[in-house]
Amino acid sequence: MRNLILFVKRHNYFFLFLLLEGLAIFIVVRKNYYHKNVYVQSSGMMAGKVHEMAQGVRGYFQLGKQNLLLAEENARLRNASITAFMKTPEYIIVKEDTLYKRYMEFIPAQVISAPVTQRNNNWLINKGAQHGLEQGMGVVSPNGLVGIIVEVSNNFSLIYSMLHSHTKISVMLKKNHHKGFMLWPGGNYRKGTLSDIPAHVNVAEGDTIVTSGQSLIFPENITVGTVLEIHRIAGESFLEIQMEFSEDYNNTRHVYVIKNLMREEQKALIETNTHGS
Amino acid sequence: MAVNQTITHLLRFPAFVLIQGLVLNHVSISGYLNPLLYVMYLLLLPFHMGKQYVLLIAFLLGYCVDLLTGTPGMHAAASVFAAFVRPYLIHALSKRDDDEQETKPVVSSMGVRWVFYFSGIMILIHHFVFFLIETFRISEWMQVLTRTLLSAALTLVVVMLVQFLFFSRSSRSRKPGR
Repeated sequence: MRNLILFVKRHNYFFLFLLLEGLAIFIVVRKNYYHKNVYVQSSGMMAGKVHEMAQGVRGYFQLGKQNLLLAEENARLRNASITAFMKTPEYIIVKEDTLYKRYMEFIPAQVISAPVTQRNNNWLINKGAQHGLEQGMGVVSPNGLVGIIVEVSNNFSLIYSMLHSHTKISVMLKKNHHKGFMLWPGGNYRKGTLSDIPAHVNVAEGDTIVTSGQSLIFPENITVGTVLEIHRIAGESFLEIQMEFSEDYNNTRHVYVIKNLMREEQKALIETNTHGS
Repeated sequence: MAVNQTITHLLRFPAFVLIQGLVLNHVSISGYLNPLLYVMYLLLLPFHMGKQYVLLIAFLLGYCVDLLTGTPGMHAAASVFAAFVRPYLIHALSKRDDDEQETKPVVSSMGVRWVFYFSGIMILIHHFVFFLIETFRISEWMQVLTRTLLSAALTLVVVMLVQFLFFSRSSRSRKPGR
């Protein structure tokens, strides 16, 4: 025992190194619950505030571009709104419309930390539990898809952005509704991969890719990108498709969190079914 | 003088963390290259500082950068590793007649060549460990290597620029007084 203590004492530098490195690796690996929580909570106090201040300054440099984006979206919404349509026949009877029921609610938020340079990019937005945000909600931007909320604190939410190895989104080709998955292989933040499209499907470069609406997170038909390159590998039954994201993740600022109002109902249905079988 | 230097090092710490977290993390060349300049803080610590303290400082530095970047413990792991290698590297690079108690690891006192090799090797080690832990997949080793080499080159350029801008003139004017 004495020898052991002497040994540790003599190599105290090495053991201190092991201790600290072990602690760091432990933090890396324990990302499940504890760490994310600590990160979001502490960022709610410190890092979140710092990022919010910095984004306040940085925001000014992007004002022109962001305004343009929002103006374009406003125009699109105005075109879709009821005031853009005229009643042509006079004898129309107004009936309460039960054909459409609202099931998605969009909550506006701003991205305050949005790294794109890492392999797994976690983003932070400035709305949290007290604004009605919950774990598992989807986040979109005017141009495309941003990610999924993994953790909420009172004022902030942590997002697995599209640029994360755990993010896998169900998407489809707009023209023929063939479904596949969109993921990010790392590297360039403008380019992603579209997988699980069968080899017989007719795809061309430039085809639009939209969300499939098969998850409970994102509604159908949100544009996420376009087909860039198609690789056919002999003997493989699926195509390898490289795509370009429609959103430029390096200057995402205004985003919308999607609240699925019927999520509980859908989830309950799925659960009863899996229990039954 | 010693108090003065301590204060300088204390002030440098938040400066490097904030510059890394708020400015350099948003710099990305060709999509995924970004300089991790904060490691320069470890390079600038005085030679005579206890190596155990350097380890602790490295952990703290990395963890602060982690908090601002949103990476759990990755920068901490990389900087602790770099700090661990540091004394051996200094030993291997130093000539026998160097008086290590006096000199500082800056261009003006150690010479351009020495600082270049020292910084280059430290940065390579730090970046390699960081990108390895960050990617965490053996199948993406090619990406780890390219990112390490290119980002390390970028960081080294910035480090040398900072050395020439801030650490070559101030001590040259001090030299005659010594």
